[in-house]
Amino acid sequence: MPADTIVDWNEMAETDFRRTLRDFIEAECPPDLRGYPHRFPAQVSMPWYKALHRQCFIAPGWPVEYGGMGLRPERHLIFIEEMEAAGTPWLHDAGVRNLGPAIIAWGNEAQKAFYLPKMHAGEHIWCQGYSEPSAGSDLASLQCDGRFEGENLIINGQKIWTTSAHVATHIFALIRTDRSGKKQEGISFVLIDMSLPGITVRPIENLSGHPDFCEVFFDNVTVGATCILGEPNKGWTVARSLLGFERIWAGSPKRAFKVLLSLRQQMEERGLLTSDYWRDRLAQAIFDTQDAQDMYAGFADLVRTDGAVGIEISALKIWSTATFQRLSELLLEVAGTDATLAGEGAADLLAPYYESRAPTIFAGTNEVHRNILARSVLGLPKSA
Amino acid sequence: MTSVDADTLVLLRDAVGKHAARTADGRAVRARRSSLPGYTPAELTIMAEQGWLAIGLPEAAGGLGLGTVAAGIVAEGLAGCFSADPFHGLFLAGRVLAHAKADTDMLAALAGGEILPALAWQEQPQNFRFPFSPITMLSADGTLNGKKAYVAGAAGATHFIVSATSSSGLALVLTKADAFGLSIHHDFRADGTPMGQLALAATPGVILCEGEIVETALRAALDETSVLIAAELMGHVDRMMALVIEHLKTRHQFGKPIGAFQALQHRAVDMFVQQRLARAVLDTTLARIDGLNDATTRGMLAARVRARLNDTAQYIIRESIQLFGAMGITDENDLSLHVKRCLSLVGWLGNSVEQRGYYMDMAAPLGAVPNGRD
Repeated sequence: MPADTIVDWNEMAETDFRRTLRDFIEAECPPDLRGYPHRFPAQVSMPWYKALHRQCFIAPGWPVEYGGMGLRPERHLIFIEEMEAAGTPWLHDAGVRNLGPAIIAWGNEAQKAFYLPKMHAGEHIWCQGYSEPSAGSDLASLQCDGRFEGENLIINGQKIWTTSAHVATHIFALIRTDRSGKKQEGISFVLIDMSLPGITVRPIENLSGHPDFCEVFFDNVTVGATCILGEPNKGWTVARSLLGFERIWAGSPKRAFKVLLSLRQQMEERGLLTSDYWRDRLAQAIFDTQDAQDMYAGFADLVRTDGAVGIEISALKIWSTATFQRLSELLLEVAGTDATLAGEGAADLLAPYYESRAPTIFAGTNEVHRNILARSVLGLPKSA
Repeated sequence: MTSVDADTLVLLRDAVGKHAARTADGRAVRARRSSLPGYTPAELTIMAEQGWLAIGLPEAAGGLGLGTVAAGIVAEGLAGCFSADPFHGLFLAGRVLAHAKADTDMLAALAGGEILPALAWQEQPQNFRFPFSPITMLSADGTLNGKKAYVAGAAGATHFIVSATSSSGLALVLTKADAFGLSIHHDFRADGTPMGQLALAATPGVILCEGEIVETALRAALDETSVLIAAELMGHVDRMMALVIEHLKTRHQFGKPIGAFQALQHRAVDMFVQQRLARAVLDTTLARIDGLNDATTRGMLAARVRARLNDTAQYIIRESIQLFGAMGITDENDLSLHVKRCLSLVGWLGNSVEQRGYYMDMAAPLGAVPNGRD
């Protein structure tokens, strides 16, 4: 990590900060990797990952001493905005994004020294093993079994919907290590090398034809007890602490704005902009998206003033993800029978449709978010 | 206008809130339905004394110069006593006079509640489309002939500001309410407050301004008042939500509060999502509107916030009535006062379809859709 790049990114003027990022992206991010709504195989996007690593831009939220940029939440949000606006490729970065901060917060010195630099350099590619076939929204009911034998932990069971598991070298997983108490207790947060014997990965092709997530099977996989992050049986606390301000990003309307652009282009090409009906539909789409942007900006202001977002952020997630879906469906309506054709690149009208299905499900299904808002914001009684 | 400091707005919100809490009287609102002028003299006096009539008027004319942001807070707060009348009509008249660079004495008299002008611009139910070409004519001899409709505040008005087609294009003409040849017919809105129709036959008037400034002034004042209506709608949305959430917590069926049923919880949350969204758009609009000199940007902003609040109000009405069950369709429930008031507002100065058309008229020449960045 070059010593001459120690800069206080938080104090730099915002315009300079943005320009630094834009210049860097322009210089280092291969143009043919930009603007895709899916992840490339790890080796394809690795040059960009490595460039971010060399510049110490790969882990913007980490403290500077660990090779991060030490960005405060509002700066971090700007960082994400700039990356998204430039269409930089999605990375297999669950490690630096989610696990890194957890190791910094909960790890012992040996864990920090071993895992953080390799994660930073892209030598270790991590995936997150939380969901199981019978533990999705009800995550705390997870069953993947961990049995202590002397110094070791023997793992048996299955994870599913594990993003990037087919390219990952490591998985951080929630494992049930005690069944005696409440379901949130008795879960351990375990760091597992995927080259260990007994691990099988089966990629699952998603609707758009990309293998993005997988099933991961554990058959008597043996790890040392030193692979547990934080206290044994306290993994739920570790996992919950990862839900930071970045939740706001799940509600960003940026994807809907992209569809808006396609909508207008398609309407123009098809000569629909002179029709009162289609003009009205376009105006509705514009309003739904712009209004989401106002809401997003309001929460971003909260991040600026409070360094956090409240529970109400769930409202933004629900609205933005639903808007993304509605717009992707409108795009198909605009295209008429052309919408039945599988296109490629910009002509792929189905891509936004497929892409917009997952966001109402991941980062907490919109229904789980509704449960949260009903109880915590509206103060309604415990559900029947 | 100088930007208003946050403390002033907090104090204002507090003052309006207290006034609304003190004077909210559903029984009186019901008793006043279908009567003229649709508000009590006391209400008007309070608005003048509190400075609310002066809020949107320039300081040079004895106004407070606090702009639409402050007027929006008043309008929203007055939803707490079920209606902001006659606030919108007087704000609209005052703003059009200010934009038309009218005589400052007249504005000062308006600020003090001594004159009560009403803007008579509309002639057709779907008039929210520019350029505007009134059928009402201003003759060479300075008299007006024609008809005007949907004039808020016509009952009780001392003057009318009439838009008319003249030899130089458009004109704004001031007439007295008791001028020769002017007759008023009153219709009543859903909430029982009046809306005037004017017939003008050789009615004498004084020209306030002529030419391009007329449309500029009309559009500006209509945009600003549209935002004000959005603000009042927000007030009603919040109050309907409070009523319905309370009902969900207290109404028992099947041995438990109905708010414990997930089906109803999720409906209530979806209402909350819309409430929160509408609030975000309104806040953004109020923070920006007074600083905008560009008519297109202002118009697009006003159209968007109005469409959002119109649609949100309709949605909250529909869901609130459903969640209240039979109690939702009674006039006794105070929900009904908010429902009827909202119905009186959403179609005035541009329903959502008109707002979207207005927006697209302005957006089309720009040749682009917003990208979320600038």
